[in-house]
Amino acid sequence: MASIATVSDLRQGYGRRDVIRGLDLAVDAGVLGLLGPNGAGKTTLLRTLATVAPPREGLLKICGAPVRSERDARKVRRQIGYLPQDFGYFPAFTVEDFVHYCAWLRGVPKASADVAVNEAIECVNLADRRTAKLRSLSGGMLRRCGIAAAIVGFPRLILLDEPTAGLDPAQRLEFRALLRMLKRRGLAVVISTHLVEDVAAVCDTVAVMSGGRLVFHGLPDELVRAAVADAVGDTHIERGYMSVLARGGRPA
Amino acid sequence: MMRIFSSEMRASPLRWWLPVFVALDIAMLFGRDPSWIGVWPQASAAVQLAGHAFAAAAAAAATWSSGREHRTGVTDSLASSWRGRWQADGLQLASTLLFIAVPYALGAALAAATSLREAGPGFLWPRYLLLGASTLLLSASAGHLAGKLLPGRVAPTLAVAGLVVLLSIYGSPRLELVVLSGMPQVELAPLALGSRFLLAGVLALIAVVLPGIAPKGEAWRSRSRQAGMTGSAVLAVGSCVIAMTAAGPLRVNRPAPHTPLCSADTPRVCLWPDNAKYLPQVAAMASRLAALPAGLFRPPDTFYERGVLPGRPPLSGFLIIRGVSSVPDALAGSILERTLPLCDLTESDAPAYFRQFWPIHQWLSVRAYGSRFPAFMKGGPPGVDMEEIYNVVHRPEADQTAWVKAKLAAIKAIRPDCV
Repeated sequence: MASIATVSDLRQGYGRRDVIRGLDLAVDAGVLGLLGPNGAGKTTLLRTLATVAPPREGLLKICGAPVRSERDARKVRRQIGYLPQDFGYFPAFTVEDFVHYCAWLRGVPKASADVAVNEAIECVNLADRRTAKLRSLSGGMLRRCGIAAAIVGFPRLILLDEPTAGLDPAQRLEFRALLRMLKRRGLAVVISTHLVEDVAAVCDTVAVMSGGRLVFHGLPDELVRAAVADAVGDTHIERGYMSVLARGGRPA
Repeated sequence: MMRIFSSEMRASPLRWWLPVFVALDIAMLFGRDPSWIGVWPQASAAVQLAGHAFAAAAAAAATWSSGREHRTGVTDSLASSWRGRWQADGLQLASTLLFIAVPYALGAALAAATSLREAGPGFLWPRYLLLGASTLLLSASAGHLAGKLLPGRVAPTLAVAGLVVLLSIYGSPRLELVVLSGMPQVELAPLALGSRFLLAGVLALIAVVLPGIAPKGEAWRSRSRQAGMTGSAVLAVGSCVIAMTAAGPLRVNRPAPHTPLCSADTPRVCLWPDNAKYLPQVAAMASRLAALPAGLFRPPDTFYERGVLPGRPPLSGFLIIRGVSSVPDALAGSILERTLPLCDLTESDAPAYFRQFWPIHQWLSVRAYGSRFPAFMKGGPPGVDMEEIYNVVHRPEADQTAWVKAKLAAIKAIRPDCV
């Protein structure tokens, strides 16, 4: 089956600085966990996949279509749901209004928008706060609202940058259940996170970035097996992650 | 679309300002001289002026409203949107305009309601209302654009409000955006008005269509294309300003009325039909002057309001400005113009001549008022002892006649050819 998103030989950055160099990645249906230290290029990669910033070099394909221009980008944006790391919101909007607004921005058809919005709000357990103003929500609730805005209409590619930041343990468990539901729908979900245990619990594949390069891409079990004996970490997967980072992509 | 528009309306920061705008509009309408009530062109200009009063506030509010993207950090969500950014901007600007239009329309409705009883035939003049609407559209669009392009919070808001105030006080007839009164003698030139609407419309279009400034390397458009779009926008605004200048002055003289509104008594007074509500007052003034002892003066058969009689010198005739307060002076002037024909005064004769002339003039003005002494006449022309006038108008008619005759004799003594 063709990948839902691919980047080939990607170079990307800000200003004069290249953050990502020569990166190849294919995103298939299922959940891909994107791990890496701060500054590794995770957010830059997600912004590129979200077509926010054009690649400096290399090729981006979404749903098989190459994205080389703004026109190309607009064609595929209906298929992309994106929760940015710095999730901005309009404080005076209600939860329902904001998710509706995001559905409208994404071009969710008017006929199905109401159903899609309700479904997205229920998925993140905010149904009882649908009429609450965003300014009145806690950090965790805001994050859940952002997730609802990203998944509304269930686009084929969902990009979630630090979706579990601010969520309490119970909400994180609910979020994992949501990811499993999205996976069952055959969607491709990319989550960028620092929480390695989330990756172990729910991701089908894991990608580890370091210094703008992909240093690991495989199954969670493979990441566990990559652990070296003296690696630091509380869990197997954490030790695998630390080992991969320490090697910087060199084989064990 | 309507669902999103309704969300924008409910969430707009302007919703808190709506009562302030309404209060400001009503205060500007009724908190000043109410002489516009009952005169359609004056009422229309008053509506326009009141709307203009909150143009700066509207611009500031639009700046604040459209600057929410910078304040809230939804930039990436908008940048990854399938919809063109102009659609989101268009809805936001539309909601801002609706909040501004409500107090303006309310002001117009109140002005119409209060004028209906007294005013003659006709209604509010659409051109004045359109002028106010174009200024509000221009202010809100400039504000929206500034909020979208400039990331600061307070500085762009203040800058745009200041710019609108500056544009308002700039007095060039070809570039003016506001008129202070709507005398029936003048009207707004359609071409000049159209050029102002064109500018406001182009600015609104730019505010919606011009993309925000993306960080370097983050725009799909090339920098040259972005610069091209910005250059085109500047060029479009510049062309509109040139078109405004080429369209000529905003206010032009109105053709004389086909049928002026005239009183039945002698001397007649003829007004613009729009000033119908003032006819009884002006006619009474003319009657009082006609009742003065015969032989003293040569009053005209008809007193004309300025512009009513075609072919007369441009500044002849009385004006009704802020009611009839300036009319007695003008009527007195008309009478003295006929009684004391214009003659060349030498520099040495002039002071003595005017020492006699102005007291008669003021006396006539007060008599036109019905011998009451209006507060605004207390000052009088330089060198005139208004206390003396006050005493004279309260004397018996025969004494007053003697006083006038003495003054006229004194003038004759100075320049026999002037009487």
